[in-house]
Amino acid sequence: MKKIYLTSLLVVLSLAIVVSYMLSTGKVNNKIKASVLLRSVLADEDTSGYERAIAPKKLVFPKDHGPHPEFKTEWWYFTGNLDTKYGRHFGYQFTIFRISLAKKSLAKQSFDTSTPSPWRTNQIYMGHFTITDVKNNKFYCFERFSRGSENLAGASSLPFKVWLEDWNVEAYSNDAINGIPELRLLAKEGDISARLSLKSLKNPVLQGDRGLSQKGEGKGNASYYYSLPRMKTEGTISIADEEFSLKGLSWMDREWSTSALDKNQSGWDWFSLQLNDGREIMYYQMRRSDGSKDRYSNGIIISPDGKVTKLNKDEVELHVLSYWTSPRDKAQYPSTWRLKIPKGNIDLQIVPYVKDQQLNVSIHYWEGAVRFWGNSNDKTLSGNGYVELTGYEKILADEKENTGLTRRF
Amino acid sequence: MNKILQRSAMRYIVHHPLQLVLSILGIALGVAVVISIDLANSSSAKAFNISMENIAGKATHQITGNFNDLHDSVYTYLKIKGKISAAAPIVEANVKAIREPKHIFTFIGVDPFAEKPFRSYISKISSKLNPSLRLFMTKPSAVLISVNTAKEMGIKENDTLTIKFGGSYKKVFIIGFIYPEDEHSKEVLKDLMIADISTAQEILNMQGKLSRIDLIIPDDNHGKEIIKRIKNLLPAGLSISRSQTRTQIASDMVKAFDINLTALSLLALIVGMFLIYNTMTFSVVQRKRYIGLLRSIGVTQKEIFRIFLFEALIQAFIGTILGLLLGVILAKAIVQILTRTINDLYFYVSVNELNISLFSLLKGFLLGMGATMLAALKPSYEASSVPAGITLNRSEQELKLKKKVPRLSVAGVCSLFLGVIIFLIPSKSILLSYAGILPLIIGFSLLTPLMIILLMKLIKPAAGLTFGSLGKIAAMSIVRQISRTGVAVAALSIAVSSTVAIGTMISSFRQTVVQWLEGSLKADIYISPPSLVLRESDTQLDSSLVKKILMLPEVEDYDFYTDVSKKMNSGQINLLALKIGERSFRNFKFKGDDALKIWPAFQNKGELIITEPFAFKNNIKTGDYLRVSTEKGERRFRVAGIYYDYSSDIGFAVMSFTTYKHYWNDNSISGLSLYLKDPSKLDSIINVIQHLNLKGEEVLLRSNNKLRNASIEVFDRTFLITNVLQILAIIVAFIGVLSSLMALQLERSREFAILRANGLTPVQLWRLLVLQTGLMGIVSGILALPLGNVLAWVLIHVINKRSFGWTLQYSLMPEVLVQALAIALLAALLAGFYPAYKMSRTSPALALRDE
Repeated sequence: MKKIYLTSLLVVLSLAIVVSYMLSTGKVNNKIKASVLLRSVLADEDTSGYERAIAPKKLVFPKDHGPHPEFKTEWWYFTGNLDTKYGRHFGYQFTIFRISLAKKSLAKQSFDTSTPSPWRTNQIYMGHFTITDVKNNKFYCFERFSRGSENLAGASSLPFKVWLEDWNVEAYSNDAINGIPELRLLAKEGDISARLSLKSLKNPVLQGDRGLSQKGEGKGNASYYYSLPRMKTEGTISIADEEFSLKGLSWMDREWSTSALDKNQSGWDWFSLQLNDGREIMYYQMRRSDGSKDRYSNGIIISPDGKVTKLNKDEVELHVLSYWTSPRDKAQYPSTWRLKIPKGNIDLQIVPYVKDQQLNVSIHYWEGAVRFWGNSNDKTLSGNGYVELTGYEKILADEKENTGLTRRF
Repeated sequence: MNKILQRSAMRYIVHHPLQLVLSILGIALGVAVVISIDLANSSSAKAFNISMENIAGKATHQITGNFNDLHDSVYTYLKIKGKISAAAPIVEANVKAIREPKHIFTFIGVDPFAEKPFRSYISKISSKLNPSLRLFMTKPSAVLISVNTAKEMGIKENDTLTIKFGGSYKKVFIIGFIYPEDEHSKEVLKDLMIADISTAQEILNMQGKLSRIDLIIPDDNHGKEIIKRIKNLLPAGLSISRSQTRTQIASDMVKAFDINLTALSLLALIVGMFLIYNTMTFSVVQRKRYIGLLRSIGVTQKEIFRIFLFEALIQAFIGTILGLLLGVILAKAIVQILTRTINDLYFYVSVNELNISLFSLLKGFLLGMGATMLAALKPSYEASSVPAGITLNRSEQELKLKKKVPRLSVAGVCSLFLGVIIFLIPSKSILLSYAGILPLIIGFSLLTPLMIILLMKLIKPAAGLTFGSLGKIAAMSIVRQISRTGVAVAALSIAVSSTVAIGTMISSFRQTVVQWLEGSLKADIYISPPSLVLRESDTQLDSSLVKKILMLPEVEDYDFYTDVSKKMNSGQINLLALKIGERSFRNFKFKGDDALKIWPAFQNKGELIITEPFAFKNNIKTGDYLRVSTEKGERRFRVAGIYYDYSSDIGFAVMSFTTYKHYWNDNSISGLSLYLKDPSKLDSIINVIQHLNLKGEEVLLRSNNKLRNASIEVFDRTFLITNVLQILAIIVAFIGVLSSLMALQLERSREFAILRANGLTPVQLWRLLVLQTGLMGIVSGILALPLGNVLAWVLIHVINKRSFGWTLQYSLMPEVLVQALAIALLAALLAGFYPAYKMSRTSPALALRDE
């Protein structure tokens, strides 16, 4: 009996070795992080043939609300904090990414001269949709992909519409205020859905130098970037059988680029904070591989009337007060911060509504609703916001390059 | 059981090795035939299921439509407006790789982003945004194949491969491989060629069109609501059906075919059973003295019964195990023949390896053991009822049986009647029909002693005249030893008759088809696109080519058809639209009607004609109505007549092209036939047409003669498997004749010794022995003829009719009959040689030592 047992153990072992060898030599190597794969698809080093963000240019609305397929990547990024009238709090994120797979138009595809299929496209769309249910300490996240053909996904500026299958955000009325009309956002996956209307309370804020946001060394390693930092939001979120009527504020970011990124940048922490005194703060801090703050870190303070004060990396202090470890990939994420802006005499403590707001999708990252309190010029302050943390997932040492698809870059 | 008794039984077996070997061979062959057919059937079914499964993935339902109807936009509409998230668009076709070794792939075009819930092996491409996604979606003609298939075919990454689809050749670019995770997915992936849906549409010329939309719908009330919602969303002409429907249809298609093969193989086992019965009975008869001895020393009846069963058990076990081994070997050959037949007749399937299921083997084992033990029951019982002491002498025993002959004969006639009654039961059950064969066979074997006696009365004088007193002795001894010869002759004639039955059935079928072909193929040239399944076309003829052909001055008239079912929802009826002149229409032979009477209803009133198998399968009579979903919605069509057609056992309905044009907006042509002004210029015109075909798409261009020959060739090929069964039946019969007659003669060594002692020379002994076995062979052969033809009649008019619905002209086949007689005679003569040789060499004194 013992012999049989040993033999079968040997057989199993050798099989396991063979299988693991096959897996390791296979095309799909599970050991490599998804984000790395994503990068290799989305941000290969070859940027020629695409348009690049080199110089500031006048952004024109509503045209620039629409897609820019000549750039490699682009996104429409909505985050928001909403409450029921009894004060139950929810956060949401709704993002549609556009990615160009190949630079040339693909008119002639087959070996012979057959007419191209209507499915043929080099544009793909990715959508992320999350809901944070604070009361139940729950975070729901969903991801979708589709190609930018057959009307399955796409974007248009007039009338404004961005959609990925039945997830969409589109112009609700024709009367555009500040070039952006009232929007209606719809997203549903299983029994989780959001149906919101958004109305911008401020003009679009151009980030960086008149909308040109430099992300790293070298010309063109930048994006065109504008934000709608305060959008009055109303609507409903449904979770299973429960439907919640909600009100609150959203933040929209728009960005498009063809960036080859700096190899020494390892990730970033991004903050969008809506203060209860009518101001907003946006700050992103790029991290270098050695853990230091990258010089391309940047921020702004927007006054209630829309005036922008720029902040360079030395004008913001960010201290991590505690960490949270993901149960999924064991990655350690910062989880409480102290943000100081001496210039405006601002001192805030930022805390996530729910610790686990890690998106477990093609790219692992943490994007979640936060609240903060503190003071500015001796006046107490509070408010809600969103924080994004990338580059914390455990990437193999040799793959520690920039992930190409990023929220901000 | 008593060990000594066991050993004594074993001793007998060991001392009669030839008898043992032959009876084991009989069992082994019977089991082998059954098991090989069963393995071949289940292997082909499994291969088909796997190929369906890999394509359907986890889909529960599918939306299909008229070939031209299922537009891409339907998918978008369902996905976005219908909010049906688990939906995937599929473009699919069979393509052939033009490269050695030849390989047929199922080419499927998918949207990788829609695949996640369906086919894990495809969604891998996108779910983690695998680097190959970029190439997959944007590289011209990019495809993926399984790494194992690539290795087998010697294909490397970045190779280009030429594939043939319908009549055209396309190049594809192998951008990478799919790596199966386990043995199952290896099997699943081996015949798949996967491309992005845009690439697939371009390669298959299906821009903007889908083959189907796969869906996953839960099997509950919510699912029912979803189906209802989808039905409301779907444009006219599209429908939603269960994904298994495809597999279901396929298995329904081959069901009758499979059952028939199984039943024919069971016939071989029944023959084997008779042989065992014969051998066992014989060994009991032979050992009556020994049994009497055992009984008188106190061995009980029960013990005797057990000894004989034990003997049978040993033979059954060895024979069955041998049969299983032989069956597996045989199955390897048969599965190839079988799949070729299925490919010719039904659908494309490839079986790379035999699926040797434990279940099949167990079934074969139980069948072999069971059949043998069943056959051994009566002889064992007989053995146990032998009284103690000195047994009856032979003549008494024979007398007893002779007295029984009238009773046996009456029982035989009753049994025959039972068989007839079973055939008269108005049922479509094939199994019931085969069940009716059993009483026929039993009745026949019960009548055999009477037949022998009658036949010998006829033969004796003739034998006497021809061979003198030896002839008379030979003839008389057969009657006198009826207890042994009766069983042997019955077994032999049943074995031989099965070959007559199968042979006659095939020949009658063939003759009917040949006549039908001659009657229906009247045009001069037939043009069709090539296809993988011979009797079906996957593609249409190029319309510009058709136009050019019809403008040729040499063309006097033409008919054409379009295969409507290719454009309809799967699961629907096979429907052809036929543009045909009255002249050609007259070639249709209608059941009980005149073609001329039906013509106006067909041509002008929009009525259908249907083939005989179609009418049979769907239970439709002339005057009934058929529902067909057309582009204008569902319509009812009256059936104007039923006509004879042997081209498909599934059958089809035919409407006139005028009717078709009324309900469908389509001009495509699946096949074209031309009548020439001057048929003698056939070859030159074929040449001209070949030159017209500039696009280079392959078309099949065949003259009347060529098509007829090709059809007959296909027919012969599809009956190859039945022929194999016939040959196997012949071998079983041959071995049966050989073993039983040889044993019979060997057992009579004492009798022959007496004759020798009385002055019979060795040469005379030879003659006598060979004469006796020869006579028995002839008697078996002669008796096999009526039985064989009755069985053939049953196969043709009952079983074939109930399985396929065809009316076949039964025809007596002299060559089959002669062959049967020859088998019986040859085997019988051969059976005489060995005993004659043995006996002529032993001294009579030795054989008579006991006396």
